[in-house]
Amino acid sequence: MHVKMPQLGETVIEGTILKWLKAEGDQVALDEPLFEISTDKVDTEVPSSAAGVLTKILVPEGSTVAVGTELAEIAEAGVVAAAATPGESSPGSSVRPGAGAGDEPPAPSSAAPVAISVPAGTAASTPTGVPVDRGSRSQILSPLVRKLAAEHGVDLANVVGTGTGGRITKNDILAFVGRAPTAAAAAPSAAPVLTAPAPAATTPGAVPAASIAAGVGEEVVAMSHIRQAIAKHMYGSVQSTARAWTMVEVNVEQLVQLRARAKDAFLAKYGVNLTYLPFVVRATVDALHEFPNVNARLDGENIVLHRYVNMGIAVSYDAGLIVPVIKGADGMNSVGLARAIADLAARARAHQLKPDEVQGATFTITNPGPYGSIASVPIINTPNTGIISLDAITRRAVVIGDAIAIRSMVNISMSWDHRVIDGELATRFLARVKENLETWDFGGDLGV
Amino acid sequence: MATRTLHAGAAGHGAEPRGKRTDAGEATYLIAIAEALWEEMERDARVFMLGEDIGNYGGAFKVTEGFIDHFGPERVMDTPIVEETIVGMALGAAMEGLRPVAEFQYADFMSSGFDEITTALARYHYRSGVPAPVVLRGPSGGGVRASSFHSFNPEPWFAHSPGLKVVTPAFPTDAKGLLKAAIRDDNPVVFLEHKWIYRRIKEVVPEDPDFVLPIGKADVKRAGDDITIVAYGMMVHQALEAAENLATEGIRVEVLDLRSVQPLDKEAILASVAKTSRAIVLYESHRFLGIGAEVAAVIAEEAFESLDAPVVRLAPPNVPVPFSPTLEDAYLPQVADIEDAVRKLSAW
Repeated sequence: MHVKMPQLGETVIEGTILKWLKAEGDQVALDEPLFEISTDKVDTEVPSSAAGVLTKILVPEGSTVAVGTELAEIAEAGVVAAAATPGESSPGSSVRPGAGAGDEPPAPSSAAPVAISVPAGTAASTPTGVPVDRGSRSQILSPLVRKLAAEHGVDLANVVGTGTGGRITKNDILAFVGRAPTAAAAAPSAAPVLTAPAPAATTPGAVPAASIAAGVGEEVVAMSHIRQAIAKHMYGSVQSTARAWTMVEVNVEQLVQLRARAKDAFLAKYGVNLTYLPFVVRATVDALHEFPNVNARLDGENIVLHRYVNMGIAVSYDAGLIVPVIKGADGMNSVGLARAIADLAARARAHQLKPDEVQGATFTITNPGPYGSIASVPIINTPNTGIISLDAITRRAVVIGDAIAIRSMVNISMSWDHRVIDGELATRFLARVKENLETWDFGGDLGV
Repeated sequence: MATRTLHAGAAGHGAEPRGKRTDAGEATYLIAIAEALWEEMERDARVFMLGEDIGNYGGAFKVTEGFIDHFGPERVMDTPIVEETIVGMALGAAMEGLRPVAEFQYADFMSSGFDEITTALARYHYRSGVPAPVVLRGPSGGGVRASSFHSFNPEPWFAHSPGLKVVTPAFPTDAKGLLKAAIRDDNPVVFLEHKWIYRRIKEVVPEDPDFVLPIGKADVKRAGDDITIVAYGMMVHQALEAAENLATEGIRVEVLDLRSVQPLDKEAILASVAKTSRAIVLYESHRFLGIGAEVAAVIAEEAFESLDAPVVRLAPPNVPVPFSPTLEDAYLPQVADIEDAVRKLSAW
């Protein structure tokens, strides 16, 4: 049967093969992870939709194709022999039909997919079928290395580079083919000694890791798909919104005391850490219902008001930034929000979010406070009309009545789209959030 | 022309340069140059010298000390302080069949005769079919705290002017053999001595009056397999010192001394890069459009598939040579800079 590029989310129209987890010739079980893809929304593993033998990989790693494109063929049990033809599907074969003139060596670094539309080869030519990450510069191949690899029929996926960042040097190749470095200069055209021969015609060329050359003292790193998506989204937001910003300061003394009292019991009872974020989400959800224009999106000349709250929570992880969404956040109490936040953040950092879980936010909260910032100007997560930033809680001297007291204070700020929201609304909205946080008794909400 | 009595072997004023060698028979770079001049003047009566204070004073660096006593003022001719006139006189004499050798007190001052050199002298043979066997020689280069008017490296200017050969020796033997070749050459030759080397470097130099070296042939001054440093002039010595230090780290540096930058010995450059696959071009003229730019381009064009790493240029920045010792040291590539560049390129 044919494996096709799945539709991951309603707005996704294409996906990039990040990594094949099986090589041609490998046995695949039903629902066993078969490949990893990257879309505008998320990177994810895709399970096999059939059991059998992976006979052909049609789309190499690094290629971006439309939803529905055939990616591979799986011969289901009993038809393997018929499907296999010599030189095409034998295990470990480096011949990969379909890759054509763009026949390229494996992309060793699965963490840094190469640029869209550059076919980067597959794992098929390594014995294990899993490319090894050999360093950030392992794909930088000098003219000499390319030439020597071609001359000696060396599959560069099998050569470990000892240069900076794992670059394969002349000596690495010569050592691989069993010749001393100096002998190379003496007899550059001598017949090669092949220890790991492959037909010269199928010897791969190479994929540069980045499309520009590094200057002196520079390192060029190709943007990952996630990085490109973040860049596009952030720049698009700044270009398309009329961003304004307002900040309030909130006395969270009682929240701090509450958390200090309740956190151990909370963890024991619910199995998740109690942070301030659930309280802020609850207080914000209430304010969003009070001021629907803040919980809205602009659609042409119409403002679409949401009668529900899907709260986006910005989460940083190794690949960059992702915004998982708590669907129906207005239907949850603080315990439910704490669980949802912990679950989404953990799975985001484990690259296990499902595409639908990063879509559909009606409003977004970002939380740089743990890193120590005291005021932030976030970029609106379009099509939302506002984004709240929760900065660090600090103990400050504040005036209460005629006295100076020490209180835990926090700055909560909002970037808002002035096309939809005006200053009065933004300020009243934030004042409501502040009032909720300062006056609500969250204790009963926690159940501990 | 009249000649005076030769006091062969006697040291000091009025003596033949060969008598100024050390007891071990070594000649400094400066003495080797003087020997070349002396021998060629002895050999060929058409050869004569002209320049500022080269006669009784013996030249700004005393290269021609004693020459006037032996060869007389008609062949060791003091001129006005007008470089344009010196070049014009030399070209005129060459037209009449003589073989003039013009000295410039500093190579910096060649620019005062720039039009005569690049327009009249360099093109004369092309225009008339008549050879113009003129040698223009003078001390170039920095490293001696001589500031921006006395430290210049004009070789890119003249290497860029069709019709001129540009010779840039680093060792006494090369200086002697190449200067003699330059004097015997029917083309105009800009012979750029290096004042830092003048009295610092000495070696046993051939005494055969017919010892000449071909202009346009580079020389491997130190063989190595790992990385090539292409250099000329004073930078050859810096490269050799760096190579010696780097050998203790197991990096085998090949030092290729161009000896002349025009003609450029492409074959030697390409052969070395074919062996080492990595090249640093080390030069004392300004980095921008300096000799290294041409060498790097040749390697990129003709040795692309030999390269395992980018070609690196190591040269002074595009500013006049500073007077402050601290700044001059920062300006000129130092041995430590070369070592760093080699290590970096080795690890590339």
